[in-house]
Amino acid sequence: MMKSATSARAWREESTNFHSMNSDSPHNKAASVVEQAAKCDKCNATLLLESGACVHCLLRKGLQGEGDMSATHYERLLAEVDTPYQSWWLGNYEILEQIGCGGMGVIYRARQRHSQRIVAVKRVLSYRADSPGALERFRREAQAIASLDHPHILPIYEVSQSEDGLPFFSMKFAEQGSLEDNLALFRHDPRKCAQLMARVGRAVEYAHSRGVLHRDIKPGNILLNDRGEPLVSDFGLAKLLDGHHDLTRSLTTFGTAGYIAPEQAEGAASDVTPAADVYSLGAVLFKLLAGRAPFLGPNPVSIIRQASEAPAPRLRSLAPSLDRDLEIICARCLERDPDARYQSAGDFAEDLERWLDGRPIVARPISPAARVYRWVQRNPRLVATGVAGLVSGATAVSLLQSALFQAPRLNQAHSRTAALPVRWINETKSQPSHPPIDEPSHRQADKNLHKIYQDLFTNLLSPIEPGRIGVNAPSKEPFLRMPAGFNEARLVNSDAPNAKMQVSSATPRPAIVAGTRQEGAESRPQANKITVTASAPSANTGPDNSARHRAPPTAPGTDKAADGPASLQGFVKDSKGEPIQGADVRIEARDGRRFFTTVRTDSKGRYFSRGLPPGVYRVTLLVNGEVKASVMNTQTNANRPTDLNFDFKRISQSGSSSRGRRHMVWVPSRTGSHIGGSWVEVDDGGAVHSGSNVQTVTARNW
Amino acid sequence: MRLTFVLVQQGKNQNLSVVERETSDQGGDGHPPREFVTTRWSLILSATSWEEQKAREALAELCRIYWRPTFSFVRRWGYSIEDAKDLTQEFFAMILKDNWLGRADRDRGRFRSFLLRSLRNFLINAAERTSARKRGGDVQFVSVDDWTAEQLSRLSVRMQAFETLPPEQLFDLAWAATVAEHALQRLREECESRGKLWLFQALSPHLTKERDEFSYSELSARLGVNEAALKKQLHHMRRRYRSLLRTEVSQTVDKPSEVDDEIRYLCACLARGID
Repeated sequence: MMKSATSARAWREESTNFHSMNSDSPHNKAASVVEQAAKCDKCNATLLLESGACVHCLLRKGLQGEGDMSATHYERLLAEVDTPYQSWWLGNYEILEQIGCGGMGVIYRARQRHSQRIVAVKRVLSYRADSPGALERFRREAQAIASLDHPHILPIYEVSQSEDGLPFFSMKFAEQGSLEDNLALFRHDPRKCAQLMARVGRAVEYAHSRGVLHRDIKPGNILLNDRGEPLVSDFGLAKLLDGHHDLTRSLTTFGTAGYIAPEQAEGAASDVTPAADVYSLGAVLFKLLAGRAPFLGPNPVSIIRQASEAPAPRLRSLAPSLDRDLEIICARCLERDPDARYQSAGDFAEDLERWLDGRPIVARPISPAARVYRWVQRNPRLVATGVAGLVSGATAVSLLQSALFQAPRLNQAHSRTAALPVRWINETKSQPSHPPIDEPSHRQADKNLHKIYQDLFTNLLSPIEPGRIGVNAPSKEPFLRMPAGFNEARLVNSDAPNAKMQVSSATPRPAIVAGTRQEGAESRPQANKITVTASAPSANTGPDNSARHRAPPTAPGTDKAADGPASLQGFVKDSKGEPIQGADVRIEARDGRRFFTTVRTDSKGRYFSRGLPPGVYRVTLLVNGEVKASVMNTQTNANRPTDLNFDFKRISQSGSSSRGRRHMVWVPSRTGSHIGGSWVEVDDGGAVHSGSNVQTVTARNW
Repeated sequence: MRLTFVLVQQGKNQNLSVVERETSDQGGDGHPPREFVTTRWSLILSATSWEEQKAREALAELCRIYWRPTFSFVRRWGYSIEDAKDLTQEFFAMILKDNWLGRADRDRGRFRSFLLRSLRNFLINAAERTSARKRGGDVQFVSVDDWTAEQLSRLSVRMQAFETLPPEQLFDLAWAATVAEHALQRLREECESRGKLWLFQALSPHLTKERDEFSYSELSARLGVNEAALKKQLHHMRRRYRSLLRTEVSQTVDKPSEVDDEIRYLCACLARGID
């Protein structure tokens, strides 16, 4: 088609130099202007794509009628070409064949150019690169693996970038494939299973000790080397425990149904602890020994639901000949309560090693008291009724609180919310005459929903500012109930397909029922997020109204001074120091609660959110719906306002020194024809306003 | 520019792209019926307040795809690169504001013409604004800078054309190229995700060629695929490209019946402008 390939190349070289040209160049970045453009042989047109394809000819293809072809149909037709894989190069690697294709990337078997070493190369698929999380996850995976050096963790060799700008990395090629492919080798050999999983457990323990949670341990991610030894791979969902690497997915569930821990499937990523990996280790061991995963179901959602609602089946009910100790080890890992599991992957490995050595294992069946505790957790309303009927006064409540709900947790942050169920009980007692007519009938059965309800309710018992409130509800039918003092609500956003909203004003507190996920749309087992705009009655919106400043009701026995309300306030200004009106400031709890609120800046660029429970929040600024800055850990303190100002400055990249606090900002970017973006860590330039407890964020290069 | 971060991880195209509905009687004849239920533009035009958020996201998505024609137009209007960047982002910021949706109505035609009309009006009033609010002023948050700084597949336009063509025509050329390129990119991705990138690389240069314009036998020998299979694959690839292209165009028009007209219009622009 091209008369001269050279001219196209010359043009490409020229366009490559764009970045170094100064702004006075007559060229612009949207179209390359050349003196002698190549022409299409066919139609003489000179408008060509970089590949040399003629735009005119391509467009005409759209008019030449041969009927449409769907993606699935084309996929089938593509599969008809069954010739051996054709090699091509990716950096220094000759790609030999595709050996895997996941949701995010594709894995190839490849040969390194000089060493001729066979490696595995993983790269992001370009159409995934526009997903805001994909590149970040990919980068995190490389980072996570690179920080680990363990004989049973798949090592990474090189991180690089392909010609089209997409990152890839090379790693050890596991000759025997994954455990998933080799299950039959282990099926009837419990000792072999235990040996393998003990090694995997040690590898996971090591990863945890380096601050990396795997979060997707399953047979497909345990590879086998030429000696049949395990290599833990695919840290694509890894979470670095320092807490600064979860921006894009803190509200989304990842992992694989059947192996994922219930709390990982249900909650925010911040809830996930090493115990989630312990659960997955147990699930893999279960699968190896029993020949099937602990929970089965027609779809991922039903599997996850079972895992969170029912105890795992006993191993020996499926394989009666197995040793009881192995059953106990599996059961210990598969406890729904993270605290009841092995405290570490190392403990799991050690018990397996003890079993292999013929020594007594450490894990023991759960005590009757623990069973009672778990039953109570599953049936809080029943307990509440019982408590209301049989025991009177705050003594009983505080007894309940201390006895039932203040169990020690791995995650320190949970202790702050340990008293939540008590508030729920109080609420039930105080409003016996208002049955929850606007709540889904099967709410009782949905323990998770119940918990969400409690969290939200507790967090919003005291009126906060009019604005957006919401809940991240890991449930099929999420709903949220409006706090007192709000008389109007509008569904703003929901990631549940076909979300519906119903506002009922019949009850003292209008309830919003939102979101029904259709059966067919359940393939995405992730949290539903509901956001509503809430308006308070005018009497409650005045800045001096005492109702807004009152402390939230506290549970009996809690220290009021320590638990008083916190508030967050500040300014949002543009580069000229002018206030930005109507910017959304999203305040999201980071300490395990699923609470968030969004307030809007007024005409003076001010925002304020009062009545917040003290704690750590992520504060995200959105202007016109676009994320501009996100401050990861903003501490709010009881009875004291915290100031957080957003001050946008256009700072030249070269012009400012790097000093001050570091934080994450969202930077839009393009890869190929895809526009995506990434969170990058930038320096705030050290601009901190005078006065304690005040922070000013200055983002560069907007 | 991303508007989807109110909901973390919300799919960019979720519920917004063309819905392919395959009915049970489609069979394997290669002519599966495709029903255009919702296009991004029709979604915007028909947005009620309930769907406003979705419509805004659809609009943001369209703006994201079609920034290049806008930028070319502003440049050709006579602004320096820096000013053109600022004005482009100011323009996008303006149309992405809530009230802009209210101005889009069914009488305004296609997204392309509406964007162009809005852009022209915007630039007419821009002169006084630029002096007052140099570099974007209070709306410099739409980071076109970041979009354009990336490695893009660029267009090749003759210097003469760039200097002589009216801005509107340059806008259309860039538009046409964006449409054609996006469809090609999606085709590439479909092939790659099925492990057939090599096939795309081998056949895509021949998408627009006639039978006698290249040698199947040579290609067949190079790829180790027999000639008949290769011919079939090229045929399939052309048809799939056609579908992808039409899908791409359909996102910017109100009704599926307008797709042909829009493609013809763009072809005519290309024939006029760059022969």
